[in-house]
Amino acid sequence: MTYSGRMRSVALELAAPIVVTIFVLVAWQFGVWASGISNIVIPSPVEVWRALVRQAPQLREACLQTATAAMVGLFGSVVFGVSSAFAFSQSRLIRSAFYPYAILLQTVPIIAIAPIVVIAVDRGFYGVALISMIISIFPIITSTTTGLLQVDLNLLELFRLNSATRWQTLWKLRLPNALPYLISGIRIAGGAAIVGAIVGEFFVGSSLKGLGVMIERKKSGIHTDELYATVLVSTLLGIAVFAIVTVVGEWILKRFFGMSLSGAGRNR
Amino acid sequence: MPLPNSLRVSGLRFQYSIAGPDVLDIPELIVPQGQFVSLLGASGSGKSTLLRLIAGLLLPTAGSVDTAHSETPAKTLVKTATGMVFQSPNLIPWRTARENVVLPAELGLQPSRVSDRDLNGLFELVGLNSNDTRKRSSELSGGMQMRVSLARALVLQPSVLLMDEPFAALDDLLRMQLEEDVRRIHDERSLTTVLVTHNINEAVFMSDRVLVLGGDPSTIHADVDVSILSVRNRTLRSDPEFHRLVDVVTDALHAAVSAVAVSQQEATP
Repeated sequence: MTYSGRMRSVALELAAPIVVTIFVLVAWQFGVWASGISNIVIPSPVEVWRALVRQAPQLREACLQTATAAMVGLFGSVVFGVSSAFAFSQSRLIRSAFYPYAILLQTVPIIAIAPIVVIAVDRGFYGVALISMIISIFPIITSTTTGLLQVDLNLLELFRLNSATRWQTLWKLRLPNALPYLISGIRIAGGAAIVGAIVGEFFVGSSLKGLGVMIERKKSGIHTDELYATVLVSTLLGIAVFAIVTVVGEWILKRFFGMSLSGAGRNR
Repeated sequence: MPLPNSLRVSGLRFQYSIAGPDVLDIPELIVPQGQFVSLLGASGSGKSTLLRLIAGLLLPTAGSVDTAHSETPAKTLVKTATGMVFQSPNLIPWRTARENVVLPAELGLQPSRVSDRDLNGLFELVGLNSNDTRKRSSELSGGMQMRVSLARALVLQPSVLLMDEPFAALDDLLRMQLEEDVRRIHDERSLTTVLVTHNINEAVFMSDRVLVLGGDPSTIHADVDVSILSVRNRTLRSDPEFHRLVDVVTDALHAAVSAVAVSQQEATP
């Protein structure tokens, strides 16, 4: 594809979702106006925007608090998730014994265990961070384990031919091979960590001022436009985390490993 | 005075499973130091299996594989004295060509054994310029990748070089160039080389000796001496003697394949 062709393709990819968004907002605005529905039930996009501007200081603070709890949870997920994946990759016995419990973390509904965690651990920041970690650890464990195990058999043979030790194979082959998988896992886990933090905040009461607390408080009020504004900020936070992890991850892979998230497996 | 043996295979048998039949049976194979041997045979004749047994990547059911570096047998396990070039270049994608080449030294915890001077000499030997050595595998052509793979196999200065169909995926011109280069390197470094190939011309062009594998279990069906050929360069490819030897090896290969077909017919109730 030529340069101008590639640019046209990129412009189209960017423009298409923007056009869809504009269309939805216009249809929404028109629908609310035409139906005469109360703004307590469904506010118009313009009202949501005004609420967003009006609530900006509180939303900024809530966003920061939720993001901090989510990042602490995500950090915990990376540390414990990668450690678990190391253990799983080194022994089939360990994998058989513990992997089902890792799957359990994914299948247990977080909304059900969140109150238990909050009561048992902390009715505050650390309880929220822990819930965030529980919900975000699974993609990290699975993706990193896959990356550590799915190594090109020919490369493993090359290491065996050169009498590589287990540690050398892990450090020089399995670990770099797992990096694109780990970054993919963190991309998914980042969004999940935000969801976990917001869900956790539903149950901590007024001790925190995160987005979850704001949603919980505004759901029963008459300012539905502010509830919508809070949900919008929560969504944007999730997108921002995904985008940051993608950009930083792509940079690390390209700069130090000559790989990309999409083409890591094709390089060999 | 005869040259010392570099590679000795004795009573080698191999089966893939304990209860399974023998797939390879090599009573004896002696390769003198400096000899270039090609293993030729139909698909499934055990060429690559034999090479992997020599490399130590597979364990024999019975028998042994040994190298000796001098007239006094040193009973060293072959894999410590061998370099191997695989069918695919097998380069680590996140390493540069240079980093791939020094990998065996790193794994042997002896990077100091490879000096920059040695490395530069090695790159020159295999036809890599300094710019190429800074590139990652995805930035190198198939031929260049194979040259990096060859440099990696030679970096610890092995006495035995094993090659498993290294040129199978390359175009004809590149393959012929690499055949000449590898033979030159073999001569310059006084290597003992074992090459697995499907290509009869390649086997005759590069080797001093062609072993044709066949049978069930597979064994050395024919041992053709092609060392009478002179210097291995482009002119050799149009030499009548070269073509005569290609015909001899082709006949031996046909005989080996026919022998397998007859034995299979006899085994069918």
